[in-house]
Amino acid sequence: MEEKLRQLQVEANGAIEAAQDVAGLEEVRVRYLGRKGEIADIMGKMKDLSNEERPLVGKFANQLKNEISAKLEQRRRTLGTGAAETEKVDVTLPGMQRRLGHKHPITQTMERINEIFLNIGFRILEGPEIETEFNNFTALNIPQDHPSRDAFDTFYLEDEFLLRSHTSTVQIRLMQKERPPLQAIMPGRVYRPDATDASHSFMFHQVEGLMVDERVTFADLKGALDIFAKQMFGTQTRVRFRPHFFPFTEPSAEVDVSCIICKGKGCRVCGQKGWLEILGAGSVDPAVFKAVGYDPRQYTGFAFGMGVERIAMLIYGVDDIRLFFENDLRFLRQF
Amino acid sequence: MKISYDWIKEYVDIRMAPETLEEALTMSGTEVISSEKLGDDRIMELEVTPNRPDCLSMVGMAREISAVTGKRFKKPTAKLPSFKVLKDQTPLKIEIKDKDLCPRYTGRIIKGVEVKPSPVWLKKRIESMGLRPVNNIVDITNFCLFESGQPLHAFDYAKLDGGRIIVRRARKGEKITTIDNNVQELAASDLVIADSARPVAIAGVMGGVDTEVAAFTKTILLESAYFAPNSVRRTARRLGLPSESSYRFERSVDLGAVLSASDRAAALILDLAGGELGQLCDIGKKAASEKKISFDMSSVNRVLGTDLSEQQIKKILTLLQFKLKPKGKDKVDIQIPSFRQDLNRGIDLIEEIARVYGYERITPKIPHIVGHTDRVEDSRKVILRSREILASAGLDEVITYSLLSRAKHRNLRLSEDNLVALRNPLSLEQEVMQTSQLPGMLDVVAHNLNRKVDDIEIFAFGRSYQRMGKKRYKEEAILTIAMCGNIKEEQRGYRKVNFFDLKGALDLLMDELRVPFSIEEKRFAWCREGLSCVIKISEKEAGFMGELKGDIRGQLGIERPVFIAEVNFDAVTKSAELKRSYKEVPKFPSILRDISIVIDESISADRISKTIREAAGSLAARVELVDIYHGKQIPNGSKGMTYRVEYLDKKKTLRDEEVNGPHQKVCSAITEQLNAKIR
Ligand SMILES: [Zn+2]
Repeated sequence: MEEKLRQLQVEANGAIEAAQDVAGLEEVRVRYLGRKGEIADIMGKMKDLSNEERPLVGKFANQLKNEISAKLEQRRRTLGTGAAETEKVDVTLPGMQRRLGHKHPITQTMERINEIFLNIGFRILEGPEIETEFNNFTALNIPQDHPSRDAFDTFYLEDEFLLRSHTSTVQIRLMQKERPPLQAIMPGRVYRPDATDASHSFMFHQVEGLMVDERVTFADLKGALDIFAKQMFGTQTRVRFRPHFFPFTEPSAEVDVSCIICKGKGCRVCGQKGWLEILGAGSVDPAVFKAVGYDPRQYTGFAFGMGVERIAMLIYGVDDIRLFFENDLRFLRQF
Repeated sequence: MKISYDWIKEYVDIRMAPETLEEALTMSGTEVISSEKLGDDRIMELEVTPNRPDCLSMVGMAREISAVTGKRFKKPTAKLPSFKVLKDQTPLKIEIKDKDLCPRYTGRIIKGVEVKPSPVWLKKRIESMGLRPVNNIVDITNFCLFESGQPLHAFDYAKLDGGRIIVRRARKGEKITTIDNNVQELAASDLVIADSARPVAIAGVMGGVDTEVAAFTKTILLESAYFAPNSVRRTARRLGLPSESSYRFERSVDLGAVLSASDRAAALILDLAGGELGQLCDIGKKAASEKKISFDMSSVNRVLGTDLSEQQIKKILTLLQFKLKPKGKDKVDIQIPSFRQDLNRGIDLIEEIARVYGYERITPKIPHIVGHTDRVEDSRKVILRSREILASAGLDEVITYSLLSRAKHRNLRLSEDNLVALRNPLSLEQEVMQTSQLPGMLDVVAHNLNRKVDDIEIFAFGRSYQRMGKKRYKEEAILTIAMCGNIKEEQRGYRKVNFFDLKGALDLLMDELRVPFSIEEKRFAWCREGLSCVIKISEKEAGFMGELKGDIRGQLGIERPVFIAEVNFDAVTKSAELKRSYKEVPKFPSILRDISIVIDESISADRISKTIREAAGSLAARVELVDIYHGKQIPNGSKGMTYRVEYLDKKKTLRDEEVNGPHQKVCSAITEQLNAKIR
């Protein structure tokens, strides 16, 4: 019987080697290891053996079973999946979709702006949208009778509270809480009662920035915004500062970048000027420092602000601000 | 504001190409918005900043051009004949009732004028400013307005009741027909020029038609005055009557130049319309007090980061027509002319110096920044991470308005207790502030469904706004998720989105943020019965999740189920953990055991898995639902479920026998405690 088993061992090994596919291999398995297979057959006949012989043959039969199993498994791996190997696949069927969601283009633009200033060393701060007149106007050196305080230009609530019309309010909050050196940017939602059209929205987003220390100069402001513009719009971008007027900065500037569409040659987007106005900026007015209890003789600083929608419109070539708030998914999924 | 290049050359010695001038103006703070040829002239549209009313005229701009180009300024002068007051004339009586709104008023009679068309040169000037010539008198007042920036008005003296001028606030209910033939209803806050009977002009805004100068006018009253900027601005804005005149008054004219403008106009009238000068009445404050600023020249470089010499600074200040008086080292006293009301402090002068020197010539420096270690607030970090997670899970971010109509808020049956309302909404569509982003999100769902976009899985980060009492407002961060319509299912097309897509997204997010998160059934007015849950974070209520009530979505025109969730994100941030630290990966293999049961439909999955976990004991590393089914072999009112338990020993390889015990306990717990059958 032992003889028979040795013979089976040789045969089985040969059959495993000879099998050309998984089906063939399965045949081999059934023939040797199946319920009515060769080994089972021998095991069935073991009762005829002597008491000394039986355990030896039994052990050998089990060893052989394991050996054939292992060899079958090994051969199966080298054969691959058999039929699947030759199966024809229609490769033009659509891929198995994994849908990726999209962050809103305003969020993406804002994050890009934030990232740049974060890398220069600025902090990011946020603050409430419901604000006091003091934080939104008075502390920013905006006189009591200034037009921007009109109900035409600011949303008012009860109790002399209002919806902030710029995120400069966060600058005031920061300066009231901490002493220089300070450098922070303040992204967030702001509100102005502008009738909605292609370029106006009663709610929009701003990123403002502030740096205060001893000996911060207008030249530093130019440097910081130059870095920002080049990182935001490309290293070829040129930046130009034009004198302007804001109550909270002195000197004040409007900042243009060379048109990102025509590279400064003049096109429809830049009104043939070659320049795009994207920022307001300036040195912090000493009156603002006084309002927050800083000594203007000790500290100087700069501040700047930009509209996120405007920059997003330029970067993505969107020509109507309302698209951002309409939230048509066919629009949002483009970003 | 417009300037004519041809005209302005009368007051400043420039011969440069218009383009060169335009560049110089733009780069010194007066932006040239557009520039067009008009015959042999060039008309430039300028944006004059609100702090520079002195630039709102040809003479003012000539002075500015002189400062920024260094070319000579030539001021026009009026040559008035020395006149004697005639005895026979009716006495001119002018009275200012409201001095706060009109600190100075001058009126001057000119008798025997001949009203006729203007000469060609004058017509040309008027036309270059985009106006139609009217007659010599009106054209001269306009000419002087453009030339000096001081608006003037001529009344037909014969039509002034009682020959009087009273400057006063309007009375309630008073009306006036303005020269554009519109009837304007006046408010008690409007300043008017009245005769003894009625208003004859809206001060600084527009004259009345009854007293306007016409063909047969013989005697005129020429008005030159100072009206308070805010009063003019409010009236002009309220009546929707912006004019060349109101534009200048609302930015403030030069109190000291009120009379000289009248002189200049009178001289031109005598010249072009004949007549003789009558009485002049000049009442009120004559001039603003002269200002002196003590200036520390060393502050210039400290603020600008430049390296300007004292010489350069003084030269610029002189170009700006300031008179300097040296006061020791670095110090100088500066006399500010009356037309520069905007200059009061040293810093104002530094801006002037920077402007004339040229911002472009200031060399940029890299700011020296003492960086913070923690530059992003935790709340922001959690939101940033969450956006990434949700977008990766296939949800699109939307941004909705935080203002909405009271009706939309009400439709959703949201509480109105702490609603924040605007005092001056643009329209009823934006009357209150949101307490939930739900109305905004549902608008987005409806908008997209209407456009046949029906695979909607969206999220929004925003705030809820509440009024908590007098001068107390609360803003909280919220995350809102909405799902509606279909989800693309691999290659086979679409399947309907369901509640568990929503729950799965939240599960994923909270798992990643390590936030202890659970839901329990609870009724919310806007969720349908049977699918309305409260979200709990660290066992505290922090939001809701469910399916929108059918009647609410019906009102919004949404025909398909909408699944919604909103969670207070401040609560999430508080519990979130973004830091990671390494935990050892199991070294030994685990053993998986499946258990299939038939169980009463009413027993929640949560309860079943808890029972399994408790029974399985400490070896159970994971309990997972792998299948749920109904069908022929499952009796009605029951469900078939398969759970998989992973058993793991961290210290050694588990043997089958060691798992048998715990697994037997699981089987008995389920059959005994939950009355389930093992299949
Ligand atoms: Zn361009």
